[in-house]
Amino acid sequence: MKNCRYYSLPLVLGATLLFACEKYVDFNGKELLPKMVISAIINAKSDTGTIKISESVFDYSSQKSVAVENPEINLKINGESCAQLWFDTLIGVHSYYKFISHLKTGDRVEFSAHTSKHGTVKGYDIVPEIVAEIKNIEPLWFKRDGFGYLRLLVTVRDNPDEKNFYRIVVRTNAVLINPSIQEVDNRWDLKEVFVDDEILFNTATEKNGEGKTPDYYRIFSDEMFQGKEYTLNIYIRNDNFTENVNFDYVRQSVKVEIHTLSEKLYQNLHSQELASGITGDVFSEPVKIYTNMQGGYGILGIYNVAEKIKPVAEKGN
Amino acid sequence: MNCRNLYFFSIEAYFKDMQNVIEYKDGISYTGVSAGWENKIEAGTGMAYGVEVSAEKREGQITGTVSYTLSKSERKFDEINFGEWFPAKYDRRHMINLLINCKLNSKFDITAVWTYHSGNRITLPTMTYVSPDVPDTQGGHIENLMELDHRNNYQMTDYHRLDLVVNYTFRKKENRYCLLNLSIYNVYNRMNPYKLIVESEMRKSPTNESIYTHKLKQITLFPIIPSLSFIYHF
Repeated sequence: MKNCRYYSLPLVLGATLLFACEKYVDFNGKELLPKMVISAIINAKSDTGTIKISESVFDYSSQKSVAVENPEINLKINGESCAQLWFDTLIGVHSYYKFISHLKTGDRVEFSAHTSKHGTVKGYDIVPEIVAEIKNIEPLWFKRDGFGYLRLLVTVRDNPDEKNFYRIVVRTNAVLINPSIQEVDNRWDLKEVFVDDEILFNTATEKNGEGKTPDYYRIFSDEMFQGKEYTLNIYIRNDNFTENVNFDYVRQSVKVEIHTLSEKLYQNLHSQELASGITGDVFSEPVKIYTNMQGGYGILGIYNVAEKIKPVAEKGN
Repeated sequence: MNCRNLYFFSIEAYFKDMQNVIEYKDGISYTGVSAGWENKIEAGTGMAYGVEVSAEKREGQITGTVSYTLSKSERKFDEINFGEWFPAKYDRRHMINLLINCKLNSKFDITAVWTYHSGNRITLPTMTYVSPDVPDTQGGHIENLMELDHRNNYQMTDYHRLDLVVNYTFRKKENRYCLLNLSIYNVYNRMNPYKLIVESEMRKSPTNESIYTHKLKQITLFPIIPSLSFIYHF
């Protein structure tokens, strides 16, 4: 027994293609009220900390972001209110507050702000211990695609007791070797970091095989080398190394900083990294940005810095 | 329950525990390189539970079924939504299916199917704010962050459609017959949402800050689709 069917397949396909349609629609739900956004990424070794306060806007309305007016703010370090907290400046609609920090490992930093419009927003973080020891930096010059690079093999020892999160930053400094000039240039220029090492890959791009992207910092966890000694393989571009120097003889140094991040700060930076990779891509999975601010958005995150300076013997060609 | 073999009623409850369900990771693009696709997904757990009530008329000139399902479906992944439970994409709270078949005579019969369910869920950013001032970025970080409460936070509009089928059978001869079939999918041309796309426009404020305007564009795949078929059965 057979069935012979003569479907109007072209008609169906044609109708599908011709009538498949797009239209603008309204947000199917109630308009969300603005939330307060508190952002403070604090270097534990810095004498002062900065807190930025602003507000979010609902995406599908005519809401406009305005400055958060006269919030009742409270900063506590280890449960005690910080007296030295003051309003610093207003840039656009963002209010900046500063405080004297003097933070130590294990200090608990809490911040809360309250307005009648936004309610109370609060969060806390704990100063992480510096757990990565920079044991060695081995610089190597090399050329790739006509550009000169300086490879840095940075050996770190991880703390085996816990899960740790890091950020690596590289700066360079060029000093004239001229006895008649006493002035020493102490400026450290931030360099873009290139990596071949999967541990340091940018999650949004490099781990998906979408090419390598230099970045001013790399975040990573010790998941792959928990408690062990590990050599991070990074490199920086050489072309700007001695950008503002006209002398042939310079003493160059690189400074490698390993920032031990609190887990909350790492989560926030990681989600920001993921979000940056899909900007403008409508066929992608949106990212929830990590926040540790109850009742609002933003991050109160603290990091602690270990650094090592390595003189580089000769100028790269 | 059986009412003189004419009507059947049933009620069922279910609970399903799922392991190794997969979901796209945060920030993954569906387009681009397909090599290493397994790196784009995450395995996790899920659960679904609900109650289904149905009634059926099996005999007579008009037969049919009507059913209603109340259900909930959730997912949990270590690396998605920061390890917290979230609704599944197909977490449809209410579902109604109605099927009516009417045999007009020995040649004509008409079937109507009406389907309704709560809208599918998608992940949609709802709030925007300026990103934190991350030290050591030289302005290289993204300026605005789009925020959402959780994965699959937004429920699209309800889905419903009516399908009609008219059959005309002729030239009956033993086991041989011809059937002319007219089907209309989505009779009342309901523009059911398949996907929502966020379109963003950016302009600069007098203070040189980026101001974004967002619009939702709904994609519909299948509006009304009539089709005609001829079947020769032998």
